[in-house]
Amino acid sequence: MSDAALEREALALFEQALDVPPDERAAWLDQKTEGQPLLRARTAALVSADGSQKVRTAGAFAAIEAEAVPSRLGAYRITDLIGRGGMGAVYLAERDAGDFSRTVAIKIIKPGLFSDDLVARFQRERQTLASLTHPNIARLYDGGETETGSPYIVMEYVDGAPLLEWAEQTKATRAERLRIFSDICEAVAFAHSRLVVHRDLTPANVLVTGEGVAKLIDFGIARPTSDGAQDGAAAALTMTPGYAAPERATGGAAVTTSADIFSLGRVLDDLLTPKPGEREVRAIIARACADDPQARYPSVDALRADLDAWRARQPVKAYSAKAGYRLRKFAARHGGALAASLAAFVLLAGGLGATLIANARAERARDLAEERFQQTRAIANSMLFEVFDEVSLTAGTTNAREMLARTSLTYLEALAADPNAPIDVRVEAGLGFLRLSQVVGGGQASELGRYEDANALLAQSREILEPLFEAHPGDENVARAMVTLLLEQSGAALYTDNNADAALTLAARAQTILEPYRLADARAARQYIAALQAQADSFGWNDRYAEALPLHQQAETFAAALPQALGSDVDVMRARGSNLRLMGEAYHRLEMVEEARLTLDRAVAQQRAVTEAAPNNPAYMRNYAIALWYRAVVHRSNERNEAARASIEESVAVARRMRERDPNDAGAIRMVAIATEVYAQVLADLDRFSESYAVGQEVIAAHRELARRAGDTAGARRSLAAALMTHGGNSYNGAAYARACAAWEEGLAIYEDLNRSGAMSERDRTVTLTQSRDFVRRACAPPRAGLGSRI
Amino acid sequence: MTVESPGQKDLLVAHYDEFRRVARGVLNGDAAKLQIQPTDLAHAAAIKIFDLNRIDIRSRTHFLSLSARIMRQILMDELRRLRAAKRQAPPVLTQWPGEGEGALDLEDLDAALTKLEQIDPERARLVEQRFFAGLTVEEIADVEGSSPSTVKRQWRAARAWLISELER
Repeated sequence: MSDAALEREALALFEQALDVPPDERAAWLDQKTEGQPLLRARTAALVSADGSQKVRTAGAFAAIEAEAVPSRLGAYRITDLIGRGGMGAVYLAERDAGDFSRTVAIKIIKPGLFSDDLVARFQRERQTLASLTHPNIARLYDGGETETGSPYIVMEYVDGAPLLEWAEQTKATRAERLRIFSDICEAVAFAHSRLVVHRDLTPANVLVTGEGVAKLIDFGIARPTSDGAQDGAAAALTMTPGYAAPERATGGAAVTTSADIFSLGRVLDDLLTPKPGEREVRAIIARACADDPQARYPSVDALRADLDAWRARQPVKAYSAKAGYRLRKFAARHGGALAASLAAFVLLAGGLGATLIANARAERARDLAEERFQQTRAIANSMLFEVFDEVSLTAGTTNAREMLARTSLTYLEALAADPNAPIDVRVEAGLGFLRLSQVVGGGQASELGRYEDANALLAQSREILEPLFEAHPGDENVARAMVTLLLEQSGAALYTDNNADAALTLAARAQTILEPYRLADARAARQYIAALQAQADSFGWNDRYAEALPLHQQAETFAAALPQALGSDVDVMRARGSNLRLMGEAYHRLEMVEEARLTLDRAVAQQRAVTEAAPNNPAYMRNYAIALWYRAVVHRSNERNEAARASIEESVAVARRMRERDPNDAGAIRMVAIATEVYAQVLADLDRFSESYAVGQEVIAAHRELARRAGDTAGARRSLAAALMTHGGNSYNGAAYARACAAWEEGLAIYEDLNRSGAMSERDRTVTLTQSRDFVRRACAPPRAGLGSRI
Repeated sequence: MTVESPGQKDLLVAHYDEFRRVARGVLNGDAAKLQIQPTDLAHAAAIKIFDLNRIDIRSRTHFLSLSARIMRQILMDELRRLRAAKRQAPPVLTQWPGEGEGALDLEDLDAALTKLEQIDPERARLVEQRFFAGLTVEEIADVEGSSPSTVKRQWRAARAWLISELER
């Protein structure tokens, strides 16, 4: 029987065996496979594999088991999945402990989303939360941790629709909406009286049942923060943009009942969408949502009282002005001495008085509109450009960046919302969205990596800029903003969407629009080079180097002919160098060896000139080191070992200077590791083994440092182990068997350790680990040429 | 097995890039290891291509079933691309559909599945449908015109075979 036939037979037998009671299977199998021991063994192996609960894994137990759906939790049997989100999942469950039955919703939160502080706070507050018994608040019954350490909460199950959905679906009248809102206020006031703040009041956190009863969910439960978030950042991240009070964005400040009042104002605004003429209700919303917490209603009841007053007074609105008039008259008659007591009186007068104050505030707000607009502009710009750049320079600030991105978005939307804004402001809003898109998705600096969001933001930017460009095609600012957008979209199309055709079209359009301005300034010249390079790269992406080449050449011709003032701009030089490097790559791929060599020499010269013009800039140094490194790699692949050595030596020297400049820059250490690794190999190619060994030591040291900084994560240790194995190989080829074994044994020890802790992939375990063990076994006891002369 | 309508197949070809984009998006990142569920990929891609909820259940199942093979190919291509681009590309892990524990290396699974194809193409296809399209046993039974109990049995056999192959 062939192997395949045997396997087929075993599979068929296994399926039959499933019908045989487990304790009779062995006997049944004996009988079925009599005289066929191989078939028996294979079938038995399948039976045993079927029973194995865990497949050998790659060290991701914690992450995976958190995703697992438990069949029950405590006294609750999970029956269905209600929803899954970034925070975790919500399940429908039944209490079936026998004493009583109840349908509940259980939210299981992914571990690591709550910082330790938040978990501690949650646990402290659970008792209080559990005692919040109110008809308009979904009860919190229980909470705890699953076996795998995920926090969970058991809540009253509410079968209802989110507030705004309910309003739309039932076509609720204004009176019904106000009644629901009043119930919401009552629930929040009740919670506040028990010193519980909701923290995240949004229309989505209010469910309305089929009977028209509002239920607040997620009371006091902060939204997730990522682990490692600082307290301030954590507080700010728990907010929903648009509903969170502005003081929360700055972090630090304790969350107070005033923040809930702000959110209630926003919810009311969404629910009623008052028309511009409805000044009273707009004034009420404005007061609830005042930027300054002190200027808001002091309590939910005060907000509600004002609303009630508004409702009751609608038919007699005309009188309010008269009453105000009377009050002002009274004040005028009795002079300034009365001012203090009058203020107190107005507050005590409740609805009417507060409405008057709010009206006055609304008028003043209109006067302040322009000022606020300018402030918004300034904030958006500083968030997107200065603050973000500042934060980007610090490692591990992804959370902070995410928060910045989200906050900036709300400001940008405010800017973009006004179609009558002057052109320059709309250009700014368009570029703001573009920048935000780089922040969340594209961009070299970004770690957020949310490509879909980034694309959506680019589309938003285009929605602003494209009509603007159509209306003002001759406006240089508009045209150039459009070029910036098109270049970004072209990059996104190519590198994110893998759509080379779209990238080509976009870059070509950028080039066309830029044509009249291409010599306007250094930025224009740089973008013109970039537009040509992007078109070339669109071809290169699909290995169409023959078509890429002329475009690279066109860019180089343009750059070479630039007037001195533009050509000597460092960013233009850098763009030219980057184009030359890609042009060299195109030649190399087209096997035009000599052209590749010359072009890469020029790329190197260009990047060197950049570092000379602007010394000590790490980004420029890195470009230079990379150009040298790439040239060395190409030389090495053409077996020009001496030339490879010269180029990589320079690359290593630049990388070392980067590290000396800032020993804390992990990017510099990584550059050292990259360059020295090729250097060690080039030296070994030249049979200069003792030098190769010394450089190899530096490679290892760099990896050790990177692993140490990364907190000895599995990934970094794996890199170190891989570098040790390569290092050992270079020594082995130089017949330095003791050295080879020292490196290999250390590398192997790391692999074994990773394997023991389960942090190894199946592939690493079966291939890399096996090979490493094999090296050590065959060549290291004692160290000898156990693997042939060269490996 | 039901006949594939040419229209749907064209649709798949036309949206090959969309699948690729989704796969690449998921494989992006600089982690020590990546944890992915190919099922989610197939659904994400399908949802982008057209509103899955708006087509009837049968067509939906059929579409996903067809996309299983393409999704697997694209995902593995992208993984190889990732490996080629990064010397230290992280391992990519996944888990058995419908099971909450254990993780397995996607590339190892793919290699084992390729072997299973030589032995038993029908069961290998079943694995593709579950792993890469996220179909349930019932849906597979429906699309293949067999009974759920048969599919369940075949799935257990295929799973056991793959486990024994992976532990070899």
